[in-house]
Amino acid sequence: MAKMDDKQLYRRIQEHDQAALETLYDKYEKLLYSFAYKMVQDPQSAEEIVQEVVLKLWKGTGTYDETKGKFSSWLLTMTRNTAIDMIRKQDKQEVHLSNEWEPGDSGPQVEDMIEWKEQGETLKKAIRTLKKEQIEIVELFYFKGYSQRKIAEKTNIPLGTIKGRIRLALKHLRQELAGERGTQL
Amino acid sequence: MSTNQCDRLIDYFNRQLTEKEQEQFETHLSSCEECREELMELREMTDDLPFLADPVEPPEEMKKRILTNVLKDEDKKDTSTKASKENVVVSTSRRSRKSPFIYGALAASLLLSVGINGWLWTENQQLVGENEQISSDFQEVAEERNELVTELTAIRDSIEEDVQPGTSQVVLTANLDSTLGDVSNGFATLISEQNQVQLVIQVAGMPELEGTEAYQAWIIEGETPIPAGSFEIDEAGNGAVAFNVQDIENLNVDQIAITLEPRPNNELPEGEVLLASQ
Repeated sequence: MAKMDDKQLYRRIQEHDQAALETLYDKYEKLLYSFAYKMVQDPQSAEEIVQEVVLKLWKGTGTYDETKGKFSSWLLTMTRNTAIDMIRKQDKQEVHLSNEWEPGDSGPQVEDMIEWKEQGETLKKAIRTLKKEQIEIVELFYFKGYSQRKIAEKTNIPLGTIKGRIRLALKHLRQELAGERGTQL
Repeated sequence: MSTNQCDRLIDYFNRQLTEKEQEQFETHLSSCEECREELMELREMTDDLPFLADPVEPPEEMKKRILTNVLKDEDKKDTSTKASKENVVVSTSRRSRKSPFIYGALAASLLLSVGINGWLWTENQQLVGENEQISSDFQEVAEERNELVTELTAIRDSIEEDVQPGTSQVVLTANLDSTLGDVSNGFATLISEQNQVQLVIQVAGMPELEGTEAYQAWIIEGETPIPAGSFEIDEAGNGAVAFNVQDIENLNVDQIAITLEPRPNNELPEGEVLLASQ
């Protein structure tokens, strides 16, 4: 029996195929959980987020459009949005900036998610070339999902320049990544 | 508030706007090409950032909790309408691993047992209610099946009026399990009466057919598939077929399989196997 790809599984889930949901769950459990965990830094909240995402998937809240990119991107965006909503709800004051960018901290092996491992390593290498302030701004913007105002408060950067700083940091990261990926070819 | 809408892009991306602000910004987006481009750029530039997360082992039993919660919700909503299709499953009886069939006592009634599909957490308390539902659903299937057998016997009797009516006996029974791991399932019975052997198959939860497609049953002897009748299903995915088995003495039934064929009554299977006995 041919292995079904994400799109086929998604279609089956829309038809309420429980086995398809389980297959997709198994495939993405660890990635979604780890991503949610990175955002909320709490096992219980991370689990709640994953559950919320699976529920949305099962109930068809929000529809995946094949023409708008990869299924995994869609799923991860949904995870991020759910996490942001939770962060807002909990209104956590603490900014926990982990030093996950340090070299040598590769975490457990990810046998089944090669893309994750490869991308993660390249990304980490690239992000380490950014200035500390830029790393922080990416962290607060992307992984905390904070408002511009909150980012400005946390970083003492003028509110009006936050958008520009975010874009600059991300562009810098892209350039580094292009370099990294270029040298890998 | 007279905020420049373009300044709200980050807060829109990060879901920090109120519902009203969000609507305003979306209206703005439709007319501001620069914001549209910046938004798309943000999405592209952050697309792979989740992979920065270090792998963290999910808590123990998270899968079980999440899937139970998600599906429990579903079941509450759906039992009335979809129960018969989603939940009825004939259990995979493992009583005779060495043989594809359960060699039932001839005089005994059919060996049927009830199980549940899904997450295989039969021990889970939350599924007890569902289990009962399945039991009653299964009861229906079993009754239907018995009716079918009775009907068949009656038909045969009417054809062979010169033959004394006898009592049909179960030769073999087998669960047909889905090869896709989904909700479809079936049950095969070989019954014998007056030296006539008939294969009766009943299926449930089968995917819809399209065009000229038909399901077809096969008796597999060694590697050789022998056609055992085509059939269609109703809207609920239920179907059945009865097949007169010729020359049973010289036939070794190794497996029973159901395939999806592009047309009825194929001589050799073209489609994939959807159900098969163990």
